[in-house]
Amino acid sequence: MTVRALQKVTVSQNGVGAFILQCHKLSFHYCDWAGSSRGMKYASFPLCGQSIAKRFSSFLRNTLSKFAVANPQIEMEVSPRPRRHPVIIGHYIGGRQKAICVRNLQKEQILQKAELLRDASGEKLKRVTKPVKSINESVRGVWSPYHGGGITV
Amino acid sequence: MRRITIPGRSIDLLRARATGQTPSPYLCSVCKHHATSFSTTRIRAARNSKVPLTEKIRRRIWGTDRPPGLEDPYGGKSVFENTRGRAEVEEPEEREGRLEAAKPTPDLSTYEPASTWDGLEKVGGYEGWWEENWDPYHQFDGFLPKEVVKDSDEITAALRRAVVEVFALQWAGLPLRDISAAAPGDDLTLEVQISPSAAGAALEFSQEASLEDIVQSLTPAVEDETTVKGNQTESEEDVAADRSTIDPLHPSSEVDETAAKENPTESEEDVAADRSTVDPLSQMTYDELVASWDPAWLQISLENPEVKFAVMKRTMQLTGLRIPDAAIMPAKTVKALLAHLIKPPKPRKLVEALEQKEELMNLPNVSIYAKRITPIDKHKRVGRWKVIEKELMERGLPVTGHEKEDHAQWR
Repeated sequence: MTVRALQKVTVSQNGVGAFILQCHKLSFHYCDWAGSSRGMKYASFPLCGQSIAKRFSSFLRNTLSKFAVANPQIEMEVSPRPRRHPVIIGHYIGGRQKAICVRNLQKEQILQKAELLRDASGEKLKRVTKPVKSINESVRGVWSPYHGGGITV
Repeated sequence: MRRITIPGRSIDLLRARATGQTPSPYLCSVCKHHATSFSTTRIRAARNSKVPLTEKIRRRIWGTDRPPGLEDPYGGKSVFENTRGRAEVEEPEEREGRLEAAKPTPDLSTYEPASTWDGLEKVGGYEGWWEENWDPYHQFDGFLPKEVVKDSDEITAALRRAVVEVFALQWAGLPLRDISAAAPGDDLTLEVQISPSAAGAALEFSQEASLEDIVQSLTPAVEDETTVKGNQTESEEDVAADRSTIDPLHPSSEVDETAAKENPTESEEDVAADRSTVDPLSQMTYDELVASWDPAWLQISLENPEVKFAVMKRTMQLTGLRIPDAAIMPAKTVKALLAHLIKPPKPRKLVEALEQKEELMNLPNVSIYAKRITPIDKHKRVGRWKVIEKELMERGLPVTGHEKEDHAQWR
């Protein structure tokens, strides 16, 4: 019996058929005492002339519940980290972690950082030089309507 | 070259008038003032010759050394001139007298400077003031009780009691400033029904607590003596009430007397039992008590400033809570005041605030921790910590690395 190579039927590609979010856990850390956690705890500085309700709203108090409802597949973990700057740590399926310090940021800016970690793949940042990333790269490149002889109908 | 014209001096006016011998002696005060300011040499000369300036002006005006009229038309020198002259005369004499009196004649031959303060005269200090005023027999007893009431139902009951007592005093026609003259005793207002009315509040008294009983409980225990003495001020009454030997917190004398009168043949044990539980209502918890009241009493108006002040004062005396001005001013009804009194304190930690948010706590993918998540917690989650701990113990190594006894054992 001759040795036959195992036939490769498909190559798994995330997003082809099903998309699995790479980020599975986000942990939010803050300090109860320090002022750099103000955006994590309070929306803005108290002397900004905003109303009291808005002044004391916070990312963790207000935004986190909506963010968690919108992303039910991500586990959210909130815990204090005394005497440290506030930080969001994203845990990814590949086992890697990404941490972003959110010191002195406002509520909206913290939400942006949380969305960035949610959308990240967890891999190291790489320089992207090619327009298309593919496991079966085309020899001819990307088709362009402005090049070649054109199509006559 | 053009010369600068020198403006004519005001003294020229005088000179011209003096030389011209005009019949009119009129001279305005401004011109007189200018004239005096410029004629310094003349003033000095006038001082030397002791001729007053006015006299000199008069001479100039009249053109003679002896002008007509009185020398001083106002009858002598002014008060200031008299005093000044007297001082000039007396000053050198007094100075000489003082110097003579101040001449000391100490005998310095036997003088020895003190090296310690023993035997020296003490000047100033409090001496026995503290012992006389702050001895243990006259302890300071403040207006507010030392123990502050924290239970919200208990505060609600105290506020209702204050409102009932204030309106009872108002019904009785007594001044509301006496609301806190007596130290708070047993609550007689539990069965009194109170509801808002046009005049403030309507009270319905029960058999157990009549208007007289409540008013009697509000008057100080030494009321009889003070009425005999008459016209004793409120502060004195307060001081007398504070210094009375009766325990202000448990003045159960009135209730005990009534109980003893009703059942004079009772044994002492029964009386003691009565004392322990005076009122069956007191066996109720405060939340049951508050729930049994008609909530209409919360709508009683506090617009009358006298009533409002009395209610605040009595509430503070009963609960020990301080009510700030910012809460007093906007409180128009009892409900608004109560809302301030039983307001929960602001959470000090973020976890306490988050735990109050149900929409966040009920989410399945959110977990909130009150303490820092340590590496040991992470080991415990995956069931690894027991193994690590066991291995560390076997090797005699510190388990956590933080405990001092473990360090000592390790070394």
